[in-house]
Amino acid sequence: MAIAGTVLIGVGLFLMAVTVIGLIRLPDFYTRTHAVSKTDTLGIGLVLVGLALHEGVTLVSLKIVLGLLFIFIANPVAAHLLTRSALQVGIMPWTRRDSAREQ
Amino acid sequence: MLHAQLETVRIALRMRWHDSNARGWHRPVFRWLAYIVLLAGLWVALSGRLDGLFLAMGIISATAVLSVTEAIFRPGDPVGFERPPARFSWLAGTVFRLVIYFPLLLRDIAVANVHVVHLVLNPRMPISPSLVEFESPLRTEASNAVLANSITLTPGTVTVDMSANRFIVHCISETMRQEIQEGVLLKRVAHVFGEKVEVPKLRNLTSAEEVKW
Amino acid sequence: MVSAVFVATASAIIVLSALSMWRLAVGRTIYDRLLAAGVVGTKNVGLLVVLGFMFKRPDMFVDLALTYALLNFIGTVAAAKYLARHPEGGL
Repeated sequence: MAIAGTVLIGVGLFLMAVTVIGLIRLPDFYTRTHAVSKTDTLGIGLVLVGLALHEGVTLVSLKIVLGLLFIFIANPVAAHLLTRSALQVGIMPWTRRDSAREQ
Repeated sequence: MLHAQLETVRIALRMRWHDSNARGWHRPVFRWLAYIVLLAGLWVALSGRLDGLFLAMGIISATAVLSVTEAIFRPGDPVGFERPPARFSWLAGTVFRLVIYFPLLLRDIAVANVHVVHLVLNPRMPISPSLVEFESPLRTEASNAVLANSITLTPGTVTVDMSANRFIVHCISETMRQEIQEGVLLKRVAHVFGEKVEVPKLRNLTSAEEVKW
Repeated sequence: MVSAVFVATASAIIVLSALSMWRLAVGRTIYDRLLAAGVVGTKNVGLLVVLGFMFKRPDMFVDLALTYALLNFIGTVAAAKYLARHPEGGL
């Protein structure tokens, strides 16, 4: 159990690292949202599942799973709201053509 | 202050208990029961005690919270959507199919993550984002909400806006645009909710004028 | 051995949060900053749980983490709603 938990935590941390790299590297807000809504959600999810496996079946792990479910619903919704708000304000996504024009 | 709150509760109660159009599981009683069981279950899970006193406190506070929030989150007939069928068999079947749907969604989430990892860590960053819109053929509010969240969680696509039946989706690469075009996810969600759909056409959005709603 | 895992996880999360702060500081648009703040918030939910295991009080820290997750979500929603209504506030 503990070994499986450690492996899951490792994978989760890797995904979190990818999120941060994506957040820094990707060209515009909308593409960054991709990195956040996908890798960050699964990253924190795997870390929490890993921690729950370390704990075993107790009330604490039940609460961890509850928090996990909440994050799985809340994270995409938050990303969705932010992009929606950005589009309403009139920020248009970056496209390949834009980068060609800049050069 | 307290008086105003009591008034809200009273109005909410009156409006909700006498919804004469409701049939089957649409009857307010069932929704109240479902919410109370859910909230009281959450209470038990968070407090970690199961004795009679705590359970009673949980049920009482769940009912209190519900009576206040019901007035705010009143599920009326939302514009542009149909009510789902009122049959209990439909509800049971949908819950069952949703339970089967989740493992499939989890697999898609895993694929999505591998995809994003590939895009972000590739030094050339092979992305080619585009913004598309389509009219969702799904008819109920719940199925459209599930579709929107599924699109966000699966490979390369994020739902930007969903108002009435209009979906605006941001795709990170050309392959992902294809996937939306084929409507794999749409068909699956339609199957879960027992609806029959045709895959809609996509339109590209390139300027702020086209986005206007 | 087990506590070494927790220490490593906690320090990794702290380093990653610090890196996300780069986007928070540079931004370009207010939405980038909000996104980065959300990422830091989500990571810190994990950090709180790990801290709970390190201090051998996971029961207390898990409750804190849950509350933190809720507040993080509500904060993002409130900011997004506000900015959609008052565009001049973000640009």
